[in-house]
Amino acid sequence: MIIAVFVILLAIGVPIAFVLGLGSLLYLRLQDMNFVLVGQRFFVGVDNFLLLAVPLFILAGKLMNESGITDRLIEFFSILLGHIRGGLAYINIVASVFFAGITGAGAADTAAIGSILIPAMKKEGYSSEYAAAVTAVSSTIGPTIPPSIAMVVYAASAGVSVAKMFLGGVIPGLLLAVGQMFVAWRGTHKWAVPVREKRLSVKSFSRGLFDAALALIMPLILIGGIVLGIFTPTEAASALSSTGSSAYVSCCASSTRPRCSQAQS
Amino acid sequence: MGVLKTVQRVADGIERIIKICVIVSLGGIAAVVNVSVFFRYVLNSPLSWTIELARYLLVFTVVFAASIALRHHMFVNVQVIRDLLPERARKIVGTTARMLIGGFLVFCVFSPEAMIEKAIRTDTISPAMSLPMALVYRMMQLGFVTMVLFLLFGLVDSVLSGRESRKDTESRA
Repeated sequence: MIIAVFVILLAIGVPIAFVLGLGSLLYLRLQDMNFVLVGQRFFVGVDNFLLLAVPLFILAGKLMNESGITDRLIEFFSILLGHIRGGLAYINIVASVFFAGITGAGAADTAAIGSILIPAMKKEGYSSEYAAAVTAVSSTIGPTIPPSIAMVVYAASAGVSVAKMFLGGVIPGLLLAVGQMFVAWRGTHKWAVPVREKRLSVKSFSRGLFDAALALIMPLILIGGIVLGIFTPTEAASALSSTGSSAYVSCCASSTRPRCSQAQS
Repeated sequence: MGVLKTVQRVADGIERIIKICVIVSLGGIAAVVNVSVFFRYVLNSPLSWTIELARYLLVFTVVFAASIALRHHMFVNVQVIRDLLPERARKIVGTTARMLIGGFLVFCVFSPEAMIEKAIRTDTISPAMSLPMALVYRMMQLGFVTMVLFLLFGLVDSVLSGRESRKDTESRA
């Protein structure tokens, strides 16, 4: 009966959080339990130091994105991979891997990378379906490679070690990226996507590397620190969000990046 | 249309206040956790109250941010089936869903009452900061009250303007 209620509530468009709440309420009613439990469990559920990492990771991802770190990351990889056939598809995937190392959510990944790369891919002659598909699929790397919001929530509710879960996500995430690049290689071969003429030069490479350094090093510090037990995931998230906010402030102060003026308006 | 405007203005005002509180509280969480790391590693004398404060701020942030999310229909739900229905049925279903959410929330408002009573009776205080727990529970309860409030505003809004308030019309913060 509870399951039937659950499905019906979902179907009529009650938000999932409330579906869960209403289902539990029904269960308490059927089992004749004390309703004080609702308030109590709610408080105990939210009052959790580990879960603090979730809003902080979201905040950090948002700040990193607004401060133009994503742009620099994509810029760096386009210097590196831009001249290869189907380069933009690879850039999309590799940028997702590194972006996944900064944020923990797939949707943030899609928004950050898609908003820049989908228009660029369309301009180079990819179909918009293909561009959207590559972005959507590569975003699934976001919650696989640590930090991952889903893993934090799972670890908090199942009582397992977040560090171990994070460590466990690294290799599957990289494998996902390799698999996707293989598919992209097949796809772009078939479609004869144009090749850019630009060649790799040492000067442009080092400049791009310098610009993107923060975004490239961040995931390593983060994962290393959490896995080696130097800081907890929550502390990592808060450090990340303060780094993000300082990056945001410095970017707005210099206001050379076009993104910032958008963010301010 | 005068009533509708007033309701909207009141709701906007409340939302602005809540938004500022939530921003301060989220910033506070980040600051407090950073301070705790600084004291532990750099000064080598860990603080006892930081984690507790951050946790209570999280509860505060969650309940109040949820009320804003409720107002702007930002909760995750399944829309596929509802979108298949004809216009009229969709309205009925939408109102039913709102009623159910409202019922649950009203329940949530009254549920902590017994907890608060007990906390006051036994004079329970939090372990590190010696904050009365009744106050912390009250904050949570207040969050649920604002959620009910925003739900009611939404209901009034949709009844007066004669249509379901559309999804995602208002952009995010």
